[in-house]
Amino acid sequence: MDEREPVEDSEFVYRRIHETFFDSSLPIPVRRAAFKPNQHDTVGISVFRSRFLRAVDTLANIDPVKAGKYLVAQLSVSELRRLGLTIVPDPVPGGPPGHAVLPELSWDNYHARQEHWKVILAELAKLASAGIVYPPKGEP
Amino acid sequence: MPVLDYPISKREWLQEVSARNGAPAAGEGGALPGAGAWEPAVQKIIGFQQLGDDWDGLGAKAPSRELLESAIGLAYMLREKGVGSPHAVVAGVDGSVLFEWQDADGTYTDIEIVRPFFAEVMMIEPGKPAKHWTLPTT
Repeated sequence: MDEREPVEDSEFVYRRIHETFFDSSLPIPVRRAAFKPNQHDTVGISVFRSRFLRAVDTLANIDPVKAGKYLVAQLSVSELRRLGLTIVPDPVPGGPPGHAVLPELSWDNYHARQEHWKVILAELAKLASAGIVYPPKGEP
Repeated sequence: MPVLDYPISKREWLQEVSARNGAPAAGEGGALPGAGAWEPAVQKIIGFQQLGDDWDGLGAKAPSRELLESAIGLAYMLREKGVGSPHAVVAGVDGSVLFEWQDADGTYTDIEIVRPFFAEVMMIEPGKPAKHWTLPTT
């Protein structure tokens, strides 16, 4: 499999969600802040194509202590495209395989149309809330 | 609706912060006078002082002390205006602080303090376009 192949509608991607952005007691457990770019997201926020790795493997390059504070959500590529997002393969040598970015959610692009993208982030939070795949249900 | 048909003046906001005299450390380990139902939210903001840069392992920026003071000041102002406490308070990966409400009717509202004495509000009511405005309003 070639990580640089275009992403197909039928694919799924994983997004890492820090536990601070998750509260199972709320109707929408995932906060939209889980999708907001930071200053280092110059080409877009990161996702991982599920055909290349398991959800847990997306945490491989994070400090092990901090990696334990993450959940992983699975998102449908077709749903992301419906929201006006594109998924661009962006393999990272030495990193978890299947890395891709959402360029509309780069630091600069986000701030150029912030009101628009904030609403999209709220939609992403809903999708992620319904798609937590790690840790598996029943595990803390 | 939790928020926010209330004017928030910059003067009031400044006064609220200065009245607490650099609030983040003030309530450590004890009750917060006047915080009422907002106390868990304020305690959480105080706890954000412990965050350093890269707190998430992916390059997150820690919120500045000035921004945390502003967030606490705004929390007290909203409480005084009768706004219910938020359902979630989180530190953003860009050094911001976010208050969030999810109402039973499906209305979603958040206030994002993005820099000292400046916040952005977004409200999404079911079936309506999102509304956006900034604080202070005057």
